Amino acid sequence: MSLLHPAIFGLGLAALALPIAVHFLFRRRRRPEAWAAMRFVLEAYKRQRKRLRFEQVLLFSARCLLILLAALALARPMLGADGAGASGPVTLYLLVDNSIAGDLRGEGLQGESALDRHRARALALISGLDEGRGDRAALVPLGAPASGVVLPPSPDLGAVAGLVRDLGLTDASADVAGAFALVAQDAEASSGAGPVRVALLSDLYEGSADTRSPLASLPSGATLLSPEAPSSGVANVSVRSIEPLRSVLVSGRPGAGGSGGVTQAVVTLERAGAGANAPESVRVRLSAEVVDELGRQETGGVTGLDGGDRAASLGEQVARFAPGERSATVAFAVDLSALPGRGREVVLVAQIDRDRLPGDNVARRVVERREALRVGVVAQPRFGERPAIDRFTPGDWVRLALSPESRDASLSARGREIEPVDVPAGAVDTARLSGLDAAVVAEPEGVDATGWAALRSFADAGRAVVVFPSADPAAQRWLGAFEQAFGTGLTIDPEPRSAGGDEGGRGFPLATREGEAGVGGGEGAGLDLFALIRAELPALAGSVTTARRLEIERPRAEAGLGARVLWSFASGAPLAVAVRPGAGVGEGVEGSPGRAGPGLVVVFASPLDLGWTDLPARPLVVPLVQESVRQGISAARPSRLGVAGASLSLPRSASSVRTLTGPGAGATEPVREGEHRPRRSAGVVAALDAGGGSLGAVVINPDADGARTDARPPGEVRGWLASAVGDEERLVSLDGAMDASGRSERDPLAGSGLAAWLLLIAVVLALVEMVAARGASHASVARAGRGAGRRGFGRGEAA
Amino acid sequence: MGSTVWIGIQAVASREGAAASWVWINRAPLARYHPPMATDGSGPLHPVDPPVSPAIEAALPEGDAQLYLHPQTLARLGSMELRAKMIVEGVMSGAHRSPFQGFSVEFAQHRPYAPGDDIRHLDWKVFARTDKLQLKQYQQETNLDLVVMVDASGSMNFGSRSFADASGSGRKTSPDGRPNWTKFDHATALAAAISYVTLRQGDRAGLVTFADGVLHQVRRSSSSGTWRQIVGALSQHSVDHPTNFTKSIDQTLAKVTNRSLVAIVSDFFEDPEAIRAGLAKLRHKRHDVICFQVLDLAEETFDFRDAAPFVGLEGEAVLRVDPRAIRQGYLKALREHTERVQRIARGFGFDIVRVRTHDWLGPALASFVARRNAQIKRSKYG
Repeated sequence: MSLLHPAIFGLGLAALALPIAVHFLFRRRRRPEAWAAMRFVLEAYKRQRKRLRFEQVLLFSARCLLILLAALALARPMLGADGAGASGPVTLYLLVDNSIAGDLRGEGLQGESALDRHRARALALISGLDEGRGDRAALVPLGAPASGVVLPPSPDLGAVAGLVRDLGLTDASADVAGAFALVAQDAEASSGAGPVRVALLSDLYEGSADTRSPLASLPSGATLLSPEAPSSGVANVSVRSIEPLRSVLVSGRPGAGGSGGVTQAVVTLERAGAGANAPESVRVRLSAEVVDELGRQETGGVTGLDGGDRAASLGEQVARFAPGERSATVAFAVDLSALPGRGREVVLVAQIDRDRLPGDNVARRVVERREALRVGVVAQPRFGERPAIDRFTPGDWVRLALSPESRDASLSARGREIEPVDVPAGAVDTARLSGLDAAVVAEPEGVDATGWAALRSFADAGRAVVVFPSADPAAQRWLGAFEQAFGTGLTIDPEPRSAGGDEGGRGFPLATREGEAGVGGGEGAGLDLFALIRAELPALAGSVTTARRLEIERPRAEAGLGARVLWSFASGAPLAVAVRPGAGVGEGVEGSPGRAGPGLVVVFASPLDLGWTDLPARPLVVPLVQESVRQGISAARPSRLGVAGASLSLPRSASSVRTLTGPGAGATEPVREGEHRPRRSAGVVAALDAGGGSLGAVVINPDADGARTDARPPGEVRGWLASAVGDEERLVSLDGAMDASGRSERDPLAGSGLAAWLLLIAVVLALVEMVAARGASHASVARAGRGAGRRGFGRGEAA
Repeated sequence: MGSTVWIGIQAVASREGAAASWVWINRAPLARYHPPMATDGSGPLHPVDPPVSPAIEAALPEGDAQLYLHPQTLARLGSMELRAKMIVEGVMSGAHRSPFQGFSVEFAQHRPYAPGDDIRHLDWKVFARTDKLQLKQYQQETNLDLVVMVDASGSMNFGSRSFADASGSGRKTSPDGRPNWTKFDHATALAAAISYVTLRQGDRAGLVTFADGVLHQVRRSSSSGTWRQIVGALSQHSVDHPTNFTKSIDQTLAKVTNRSLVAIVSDFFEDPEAIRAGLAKLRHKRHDVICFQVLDLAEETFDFRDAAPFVGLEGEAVLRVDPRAIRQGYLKALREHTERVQRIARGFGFDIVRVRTHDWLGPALASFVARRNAQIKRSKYG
């Protein structure tokens, strides 16, 4: 058994002297009574001497035991928790939840936050330590990724308390598992003689208590102090995401018309906690901020990056949750053409009204606005006049698809949004590819290994590469060099499949239903390049007849995260597959939403050649090629989206990061190999190259997962926490240790039960002592003639 | 001088406030006297302004008498007559039976005539009826000698009643400055009262104070100054000696040779066997004895709530004890002792009466005397 407050127990031991002192003090102060009938007093005393002494010893023992028990209870004994007989300095690890959930407020949005309560509780625990005994305290904030602010534990308790007071909120989720790993590692390394206590100060809502994450085992004998998991959640609405349909908006060159940079952005809200079964309406505001070319904040007009009044409002919508509905979406039409400023990058900001957890009420997304896209067409260069359509080469068809000409003015204007640039197939190199947004390899047979390597580098820089097979059925040897360079893992049979008897004269028809098209194949997120035209694809695909095609094997499941079938033939054979470079060899592919790796390759099964397919002559070719390029460019670019607490993926050429908004705005930090330290606060940063040029803005959103305020089953949370200490006996509840304001520490180990039992025994003993004292003194005997003789007794009073 | 036989204060009732007659001997204390109230709330038990007997007023005690005898007590003494239960040997004829049978006033018995007897005492009526010669014998009456033995040991120096409440003088403190009325004060009052009664009926009274021996003595006398001598001796007596009851009795008996009425006023906080031995000697000498056991209310209740060291008044050890813890044992011991002393006294045929310092002396004394006289009368005629 050990004591949480040995000093109190020491005081209790010292207090044992109280009954003795009181006895002697009263003995000295009492006035002697002169008494005549002394012989009867002596006689009575002699008769009852043994009983009196026994009663006195009994009473004295009871009183001493009473004090001892009270002192022991106040000293918060812990049976076995710190090891039998464990003593010495206490090591206290404070795991304080400063995650986004720490901003949770009370009803009415007033009062202190959860972090305030955690801070108060941590300070109370520190105040219970004894610096003179050598107690130490460590501070590990839980905001992901958990890291020790004070680790290993410090004996300077005042300094630790100061750091606790200064502890700020983060927008990250709570990294409880990481914190436990740090504590376990440090505790094992230090392995001090004294008791080890780990205080987990968190509300343990679903966002903080990720019970799926296994906790590291704390050292044997350690005690885990934790509040009880809540039994019900707290109503909260969070902005889960803002998804523009296109992340690169092309407005067209001035005076040339065009779409004007209009797109749609879908804001997804999610609600949690109590009240989810009731209908609810939430107002959503969308605004935009412009980032200038140098990655600095625009200074003029209404643009800004502070997310406040200086942002340009793009509108306001009301999202409605149906009863029982957890998620709701609202769509905004985003028109960036009216935005002032010179910057190409715009940060869209979706925000809802303040609720009990304000930290997750905003989400950002970077979109890029461009006048035109420059797309390289890798083919034999065309000199002179374009031939007749029946003599079009695949390169011609690609150029036409990228920049169609039509009597329809709007179509022509849209065509001017993409500027094809000829890249000779035999001279593909980095220099020619620089400045391009994408490359379409129309005649791959002309690209040598160096060219494929240059294209791979091009893709790795966050560009899209669209590859069509060679129109020469016998010239598919490029596939080896391509696969060697890109490592897509795709299995493509170089022998073309020709439409035979089965297909008759219809060739290989394209799928005309989404299910028939077998869209997906892989689960590569962010690779659904045809999402915007999917509704039109069945109608357009019906007219296409393909006589020959290459057989592309559907991506294997293990490569699924990095590949996706965009559309298929009716037979199920893929028509087009989008795949990340290196997906086949597992090179740094991340398929989680918003975290896709840079670069993209789209491989088609048929070239744009009338000998293979009539697709070039069909209306489908334009959306197919353009969407492959437009959306491919968006999908290929390095992620512009980060989550607080997670590592930032930046362009590999990035050498530094400049913070544009949030804490430390204006500061520049170096980065290494495209990875930047996790940032715990939401905001906007700009990746800079070695020369200081901007490589693009990256937004860091609050981790909405950490803001989930649903309640997990308390038993599950308790079991999860107990897994760290191996035994629920070592899991001590902190609940009830605070007063209503959470300001004062009462008894963090009261929940252990031992202190409560001791107090109960002390109370029972006090009652027994009272009864015994009255019985021993015969105080209950009726006082006959009371008050008759209370004056002085006799002239011979000894006083 | 001797008074008429069998007259006295038979009418004195024991109930306080129901006295047959009221005597007030001093107007001065009357204003300070607050008569006891009736329990039924009907008002004071005594008349607020009782009539004053001119005869009593003429016989006012003076000086210290007012210090110890409350007017209420004195009022009860007016018609009181103290008689010897047993035969006493007086030097003069009086109201009390003499052990010397002769030919006096009171017929006692017949006895057969013997040659040589004075034929003047032959009862001729008996001879006429029975033809036998019988001589008449008569009871000789004599006077009463009262010896008041007052215990002046240290245990008598205890009292919890206020002096002003108990004293008839109106003083708040005793002449030596004590604020409390001790058992010795009460014994003094008692001695003064019975001496007063005795002297008033013409008998002789004397005083012996004792502790570890006879300390002071006032010779028996029926002179008018005897009462003042007794009261004066008691009022100035020191009360600080240990007790030796047997020795005190021995020394007293050495002085008192004739049969007398001995009134022992003490708390009897003495070894019962010593008391038995002392009383046995008195009985052996054929003295009549009245034991007045004076106790204080605090001694009878032992009502203490706080632990305190108890210091004995006769040099006993200091005892630190919780009084509540030993209260029952103390009361039991006191009760046993008192009952044993009573059995001893009554075993010798002596009267014993308990007198409490918080009670008024007059009613208690009157009640006792009336009961005693009635008993004597019954034994005489029964």
